[in-house]
Amino acid sequence: MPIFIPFLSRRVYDFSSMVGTATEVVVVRALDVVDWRAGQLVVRVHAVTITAGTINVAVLMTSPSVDAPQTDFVRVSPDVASAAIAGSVPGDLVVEALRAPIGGHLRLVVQAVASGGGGTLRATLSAALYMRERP
Amino acid sequence: MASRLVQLFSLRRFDFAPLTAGTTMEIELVRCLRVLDWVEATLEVRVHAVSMTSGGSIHVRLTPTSLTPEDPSVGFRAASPTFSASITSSTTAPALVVATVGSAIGGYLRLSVLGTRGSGAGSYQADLSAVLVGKR
Repeated sequence: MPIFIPFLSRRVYDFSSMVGTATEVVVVRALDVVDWRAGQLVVRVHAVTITAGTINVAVLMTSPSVDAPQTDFVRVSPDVASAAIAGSVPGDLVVEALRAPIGGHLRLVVQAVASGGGGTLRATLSAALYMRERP
Repeated sequence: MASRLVQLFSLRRFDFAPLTAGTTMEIELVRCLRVLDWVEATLEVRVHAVSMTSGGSIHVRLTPTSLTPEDPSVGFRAASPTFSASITSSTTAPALVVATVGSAIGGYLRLSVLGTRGSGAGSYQADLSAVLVGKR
């Protein structure tokens, strides 16, 4: 049965204090998706001010282990999906299909890369996943 | 059988240090794993630790197989495709290495670990655990 997973409620992400660095905010460490084969990442852009740099909402494959519960085993590249916010305007809906394989668990993150010259890097976002049993 | 996550092996060390340069060794872990009800699967290998000299590699492999009671001592295996998650000297722990088993999944799979030493001497081991996520 298809399912809607609203994993990120409306929230402000402000990375304007960063200069020439990258960071990643973990929203969901490991979402169980064993029962689904396909899906879409949808990101709502409530507000955005980006003068330099990038903000992405990304979906990565992960595999939590009872042998090492504190360790994050993450497949960084390639990602399962990545929604780029730069270039968007308020009211935009950014939709990205999840690329197979999605595996058993997904890690949901907000990634920011600030330019060397700094600048405003801020967005108000909410996001969800639509998961389906068949592509 | 619904979609499910199957633990293939818990955390364990694979140490291929006795291998000489250019040789390989394969360890069979599961002779015949039933995957008949799935249309695709993902092999997820967690790399807890790795210590390997340049040129070496460790492959966690799934190979289509078909056993028969008419000749039970023979493990009939397909020459290809082999679905392999590869750990090399450039792999940095912790890591997640993935192999996709798509439309050629067949009915049964054999799980093995293959070590291949490069030209260099030195340590050659990895601490691994693995699961198989099957989807119907």
